[in-house]
Formats: sequence, C-alpha cells, structure tokens
Amino acid sequence: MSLIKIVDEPIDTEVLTKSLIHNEFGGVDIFIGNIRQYTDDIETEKIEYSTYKAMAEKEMQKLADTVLAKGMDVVMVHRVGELQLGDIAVFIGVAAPHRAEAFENCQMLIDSLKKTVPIWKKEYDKDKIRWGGLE
Amino acid sequence: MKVKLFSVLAEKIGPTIELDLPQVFKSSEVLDQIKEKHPDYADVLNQSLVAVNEEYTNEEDISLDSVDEIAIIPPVSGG
Repeated sequence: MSLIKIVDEPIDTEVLTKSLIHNEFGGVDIFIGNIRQYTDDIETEKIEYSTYKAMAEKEMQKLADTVLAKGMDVVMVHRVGELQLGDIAVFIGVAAPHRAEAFENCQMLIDSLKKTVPIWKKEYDKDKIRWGGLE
Repeated sequence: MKVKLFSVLAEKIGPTIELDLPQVFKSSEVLDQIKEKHPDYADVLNQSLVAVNEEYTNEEDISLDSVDEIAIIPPVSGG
C-alpha cells in the first residue's frame, strides 16, 4: 500500500505505478517531476538534491496521512543526490475511487511537498550555481 | 549544543555549528547566534526556520532539556 520515502537511486515509475492499482480505486493520478533544461533563458546542466532525511520523510508522511485518512492510497518518493537532465526527481501518485479526488489530492501533495519538506536543490546552471528556494 | 545545518549553510559553514543556548530559548535566538558568527549568511538565515526534534518550531519557548536535535531549515526547494 502506501509508500513514502527518500531514495538516492533512480525512481522506477513502473513499479510505483503498479503499486497504486487496486480494485477499489478507479482512478490513479501521477505527478512526475524531472530535471528541466531551460528555465526562461537559464540553462541547467544538473541538480544536486540534499535532504534532512529523517525530518523530510516525517513531513512527507504527514502530508500523505491527510490523504490516506480519506481512504485513498498514496505514493511519494523523492530522489536525492546528483541528477542529470531528464532524471526523475519526484514521483507522487494518488489512487482514489474517482478521478476528481485523485487529481485534487495529487496536486495538493506536490504543492505541499515543495513548501514544507526539507529537501534542497543546488542547481548547476550554465552561467552559475543557484540554490533553490532563496529569495 | 550542536546544531545541524543543511543546503547552502552546510556547504558554506559546515554540517554542524556549536552554539551555547540558554535553558529556555526561542528559535529566533538560535538564528541570531549563527548570524553573529556568520554575518555573511544573515540573508539566508533570515529566510530559514528552526526544527527541534525533527519538527518545525514557531515562536514558542523551547526548553533545552526537551531538545535532542536542532536543525536550521533554509527555504526548501524539493520537487
């Protein structure tokens, strides 16, 4: 059932997707975040993700629990370490009886993860290094 | 008390910093002490939160006796 973790190896989307297929759920919504090459004029070469793992997994679990409490299934996996263009950084999946709640809760989970889960990116751009999140 | 640092702070200052905290303190005092030692990173610290025992703190009083671990959490940027 639900799987919440931070990993330092490639994310296997097929295995994670299959884990969300259950007879009681008619809809699965999945968000996959991968390393993007261009942000406007800035060209990214790679991103290094770091984390405060114990706390990050706790915060992810708190978010997942709000969805699990509504009777849905949740997968949240974030990869850390050095990621190249196209590599998958995050996989969020929600399985629900109907599609509307799957869409809604999947979006809530990724939006909230970006706000509260202690994971940081160090972005190696062509012109310079940028630390994510800083104003 | 050893305080854990992450992200840009860990890279520039180190993975931990030793602070002398009073018996009762607020998260802002933790950040202020680091700012005093490393004024160059005041800007990052002004945007950071403090976690005690892997939970975010606000402006509540924190008793040193209840603390197993303190960490500075710069603005997160996962996803």
